[in-house]
Amino acid sequence: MHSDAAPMLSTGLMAPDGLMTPDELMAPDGLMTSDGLMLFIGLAVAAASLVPMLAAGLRRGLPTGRCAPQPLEPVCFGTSQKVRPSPRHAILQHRGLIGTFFMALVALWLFPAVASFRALGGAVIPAALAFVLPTLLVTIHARRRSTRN
Amino acid sequence: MTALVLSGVWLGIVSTALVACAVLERSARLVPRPDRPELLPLRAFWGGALEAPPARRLTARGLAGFARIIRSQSVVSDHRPGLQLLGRLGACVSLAVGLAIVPFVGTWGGGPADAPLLLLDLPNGLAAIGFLLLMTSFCRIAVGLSERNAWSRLGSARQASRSLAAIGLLTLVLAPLAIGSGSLRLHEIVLGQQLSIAPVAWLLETLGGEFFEILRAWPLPAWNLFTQPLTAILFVPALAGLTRRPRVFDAASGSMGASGFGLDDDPADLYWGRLEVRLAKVLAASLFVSLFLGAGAIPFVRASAVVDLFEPFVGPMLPALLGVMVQIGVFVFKLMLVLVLASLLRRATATLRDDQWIEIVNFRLFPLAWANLLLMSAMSLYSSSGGV
Repeated sequence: MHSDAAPMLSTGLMAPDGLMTPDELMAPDGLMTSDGLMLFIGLAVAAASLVPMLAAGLRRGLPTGRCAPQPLEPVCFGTSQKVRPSPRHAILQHRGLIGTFFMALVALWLFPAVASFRALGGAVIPAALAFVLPTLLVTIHARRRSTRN
Repeated sequence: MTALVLSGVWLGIVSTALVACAVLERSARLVPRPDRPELLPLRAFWGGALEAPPARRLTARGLAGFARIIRSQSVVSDHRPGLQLLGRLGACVSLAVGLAIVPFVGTWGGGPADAPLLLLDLPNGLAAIGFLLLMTSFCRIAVGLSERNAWSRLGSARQASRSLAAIGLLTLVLAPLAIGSGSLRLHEIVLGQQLSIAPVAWLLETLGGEFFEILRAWPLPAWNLFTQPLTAILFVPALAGLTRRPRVFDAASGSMGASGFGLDDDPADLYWGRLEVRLAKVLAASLFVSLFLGAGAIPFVRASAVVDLFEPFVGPMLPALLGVMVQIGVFVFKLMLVLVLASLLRRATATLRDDQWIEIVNFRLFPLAWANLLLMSAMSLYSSSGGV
C-alpha cells in the first residue's frame, strides 16, 4: 500500500511515513463501487415509482372529468381554543431546538475524528481523551458553579 | 453481472422487509385487547359482515390503496410541489444509498480473506451512515417546510430537534464500535464478529466444578451485541430518533398528531410518506443486524469450513454459492426477527412528546454514551498496551 518514498500530499507537503494520503483515504477498498450503487439505486427508484406511474397511466385512461386535478383549500382548524397550541409548546420547541443544536456540535467532531482515526489508527484515542476529558471536567465544573449562583 | 444479481437480491430482501413492516404495523394496530375493549380502534369492527366487507387481507388493502391513488389527484394551494418533490426524492435516494452500504452477504467463499460481496464498500462506512441519515433528516425538514401551514412548520421544528439530538447520540454510539473493531469499514466490522468469545473466561478458569466446565464449553458468538451490549442498547434510541418522522397520521399506532407533515396529503403523497418511513425502518433494522448480530453469520459455524468440506466433491463454485445463499437466508431471518422485536417494543413503550424525548437524550442517554465511550477507550488502551 505504501511506497518507500514519502507520498506527496495535495498541499505540496510530503506526508510522513506510515500516513495515508488523502487519495488513499477516500479510495474505496471493495470490489464493486459505483456500478453496484448505481444499479441498486436505479432498480430501487424504478420499483418505488412503479405504483405511481402505473396509477398515472391508468388515470389518463379515465374520462376527462374524473382525471382532472382537484384544486383544494388547505385544511384550517378555525379559531377554537381547543386546537390552539399552548404557549408552553413554543417555549419547549425553542428550548429543544437550541439545546440540540449545541449537542449536535459533537457530531461535527465526527469528520476530523474520521480522518485522524484512519491516518493514525488507535494512537488517536489517547490524544482525543487528552482533549475531551479536561473539556468535560471544566464544563461540569462551570455548570455546577452557575447552578449554585 | 455480479453487481446486477446482488442488486436484485438485495432489492428483493428490502421489498420483503417493507411488506413485513406494513403487516406488522397493521397487526400492531389491531392487536386484540380483551381486557381493555375501549382501547380497540374503531376499524377493528369493520369486516366480518356482509354489509361491511372484510379489509384484513393484505392484497385487498393494497388494491384499495392503489384505487385511491388512481382516483384522486389534489392540488393544494399553499403547497410548494418543487420543494416537496426534492425533499421526497432526496430522502428516498439517501436511504437507498444507506441500504447499498449495508453488508448483507459476507464474502465469496466464506473466508475472511475472500472477496467481499458488497454493493458499495466505503472505507469510512460508519461515518457515511451518519451523514446519510442526517441528509434524510434535512430532506424531511424540507418536506415539512414545503407546506405553508403552521402545523407542518411545527412538524419541521420537531424533526430538526429530534435529528440534531439523535445525530449527536449516534456519533457517540458509533465511536466505540470503530474503536472496538479498529476500522470504520462496515465489512471489517462484520468480519470481526465471525468468531466466538468466552466471556469472563479468566473467572471461569479459576473456578472448578462441573457447572463451570459446561460454561467454559459454551462460548458466545463474538457479535457486538455480546461484546458491547450498552452500545447495542443505545443504538436503538439513536436510530429511532433519526428514522421516525413526525407525521400527522401515525401508521403504527393509527393515531392523529397535533402537528406534523401530511396534513393535506392525498393518497399518492401518503404512499411516498409511508414508503420513506418504512425504508428508514428497514435501514435501521439491517444496520442493527450487520453491526451487532454479525450479518449473515451462523453462530459457531464458519462458512469457509462448509465450503472446504464440499469443495473436493463438487468443485469450488457450487459450495461458495450455497454458502452465500445460506448467509442471505440467515440475514433475512435475523432482519425479520429484529423488525418483529422493534414492533413489539414500539407497542410496549409510550409515545413521548418531543421535549420529553430530547430531555431523556440530553440528560440520560448522552452521559451513558459518554461513559460507554470512555469505558471502551480505556479497554482498548489496556488491551493494546499488553494488559490482556
